[in-house]
Amino acid sequence: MPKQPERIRPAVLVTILAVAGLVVLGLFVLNRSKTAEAHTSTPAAPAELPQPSHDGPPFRVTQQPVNSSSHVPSLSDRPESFLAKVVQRQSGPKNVPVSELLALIHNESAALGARRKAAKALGKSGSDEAFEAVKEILRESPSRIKAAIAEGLAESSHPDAKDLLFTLLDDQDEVCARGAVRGLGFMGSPEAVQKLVQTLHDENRPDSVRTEAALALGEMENPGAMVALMQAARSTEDPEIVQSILDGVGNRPISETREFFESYLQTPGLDSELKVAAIEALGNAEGAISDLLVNYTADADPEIRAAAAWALSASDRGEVGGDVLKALEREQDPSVRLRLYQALGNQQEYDLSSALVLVKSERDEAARLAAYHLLASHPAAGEDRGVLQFLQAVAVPELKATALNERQEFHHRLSSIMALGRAGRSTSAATDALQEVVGAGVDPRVKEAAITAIRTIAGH
Amino acid sequence: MKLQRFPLLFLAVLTIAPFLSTSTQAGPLSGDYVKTFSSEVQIWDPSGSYDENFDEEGIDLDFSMSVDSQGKIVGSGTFSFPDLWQEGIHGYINGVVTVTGKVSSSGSVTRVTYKIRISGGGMVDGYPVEFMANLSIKAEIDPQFGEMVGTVSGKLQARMPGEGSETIKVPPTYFETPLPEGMDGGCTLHLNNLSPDASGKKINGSGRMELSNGKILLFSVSGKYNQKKDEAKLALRGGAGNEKSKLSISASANGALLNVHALKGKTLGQKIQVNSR
Repeated sequence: MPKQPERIRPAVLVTILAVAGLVVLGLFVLNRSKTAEAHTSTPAAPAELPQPSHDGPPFRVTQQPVNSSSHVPSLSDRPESFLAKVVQRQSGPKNVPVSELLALIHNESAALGARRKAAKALGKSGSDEAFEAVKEILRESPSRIKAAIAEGLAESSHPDAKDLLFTLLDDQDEVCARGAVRGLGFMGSPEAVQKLVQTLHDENRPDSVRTEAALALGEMENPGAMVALMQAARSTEDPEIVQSILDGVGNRPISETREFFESYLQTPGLDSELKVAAIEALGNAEGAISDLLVNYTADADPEIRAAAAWALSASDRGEVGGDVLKALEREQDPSVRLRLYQALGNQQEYDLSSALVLVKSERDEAARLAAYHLLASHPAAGEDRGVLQFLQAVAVPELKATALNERQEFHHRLSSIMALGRAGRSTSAATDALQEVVGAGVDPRVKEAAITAIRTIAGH
Repeated sequence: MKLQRFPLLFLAVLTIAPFLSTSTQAGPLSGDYVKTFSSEVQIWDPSGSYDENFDEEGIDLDFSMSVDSQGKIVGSGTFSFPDLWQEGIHGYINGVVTVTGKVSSSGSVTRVTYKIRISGGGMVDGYPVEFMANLSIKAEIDPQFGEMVGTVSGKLQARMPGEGSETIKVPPTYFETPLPEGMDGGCTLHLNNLSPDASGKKINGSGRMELSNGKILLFSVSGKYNQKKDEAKLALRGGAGNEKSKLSISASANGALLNVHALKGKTLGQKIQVNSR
């Protein structure tokens, strides 16, 4: 099937943010002491934002009955709320006749995302008509459509759906088989866990399917899944599979997995590559993990130190800024220092003056770019005279030169643009530099990044 | 008399034959070569700018992200919802976006996992509000349609200083986004200035892998030529800006053409293993 002729509108992230953000904000206006009348009619846009109410802030946690005279309509009360529309749009077609789902699935000029959603909805449907259509579709459709059907089958109430899903696990089409794996992950039953564990351990299966099984087990709430995964981490020999197993374990909250990782990392004779994989997996764990990771920034192996620093940059915001600064002071390897600058930027706080001293003495080009990004991102960058002077006199000119240099490595050019975007919040010199990049005859991707960075500054 | 001559003729043929076969061998790699890969070798780079502007609701989520030679992703951008009034709320929210993640591969699949962290705030009905979002994207590359496809999940939190906070979890939700223009996984290998030494057994030179989006990965090249097999085994070590990449190639030359028998290694977090034998 040919590539889609037009760019599919990537709206999901934005709508999720909008949905959830508005729900959260909507909770703030529940139970305000104002009357409902002020909100029942379609509001006109105000000329300016209102001043804070003398009744106090609108935020309340407790609910009040809908029919209460003091109840203020919230987002969820409105029959045609934006919330309802957006949730409907993102969850895909519901209660749509099978014939319409089939028409959409077969429509090759329709957006692929819509076709996938229709396929998943068809798989979910428990009717005999839908199930027969599913079997037909599976014979002839593109891989992604088959995978979507497999995912949908996990939620189907049809008595034969589960067996069909198990069959798809063995499909020669790896994309379809991975879809079946994800479907089993969603099912979450003990039987599904068993199937996934078997898949993980089956050396005759493609690596992509085995590793998908590891990741799916890591997403499951079933405690048996995590037990099996942790056992597999120690018993599996293939390092590539073990890395995915560790990633799977890392998907769980750290409260469930900390003990495992601490023990695993202390395993005598553990291969360095697996140690790196375990530390990086911690970067994805939900919860406070910086205190464990920072210990590994002192390891003798630079690969492990770099992995720990990267995980510190990727994990939940940490509180080890002081320790990361100390690691930077002693670190000799520039590739590790680069990661440490990134890690420092993800700490709740750190001493800006000490960081400035380190940045000024940084000689490695790639590490310097990360260091400039760190300084430019600090909330107080525009208020600290020393930092501001350094940004204006040294960092911004160098970042601009890197961005404009056609011979520079693309990643460095893009990193420079992003750092200028951050610096632009503190100094107009950065904005001017970005404007210059936009106006120069540069690589279109660099120009596009510069335009995005200018928007970043404008939106701040 | 014929019988007496035959053994001599046979001996002569045996003596000359090795030289005849040698003269038809391609010889050690020397000079410049180019090899374009399509489906047999694919290297994915989701670097670029992602502008997700939802005009209907007036929401902007703009960020750029870049992948380094180890496949690690860094990115930054901005989120803004400048006018909440259309939903009956006086106010606005905006925030700074930070992106971290990685690209990896397993067998035939390339996975892109990254976190989008939004930190910011705004005003809601005249009161300051802090807003945070942690979204986790777990996606794989769809080579057929040039997209990242997967799920997005995470949590959002709004906090009113002194009053408390509310947190909402975002369950795993279907996610897809097209890769930046020009990225289709194709790549072209350039081997330059390959110079065999006097023995013809050792080879040095330089190289680069050019991706479909124009990104260039630099390498230094060194290796050996096996005359009997008429095959060179070359090690490519990442150059400036590409230090963590490593490739090894078994190849032979057919005039100006490079026949790659095997290619193995890792770059941009992705494993490459191709064997055409």
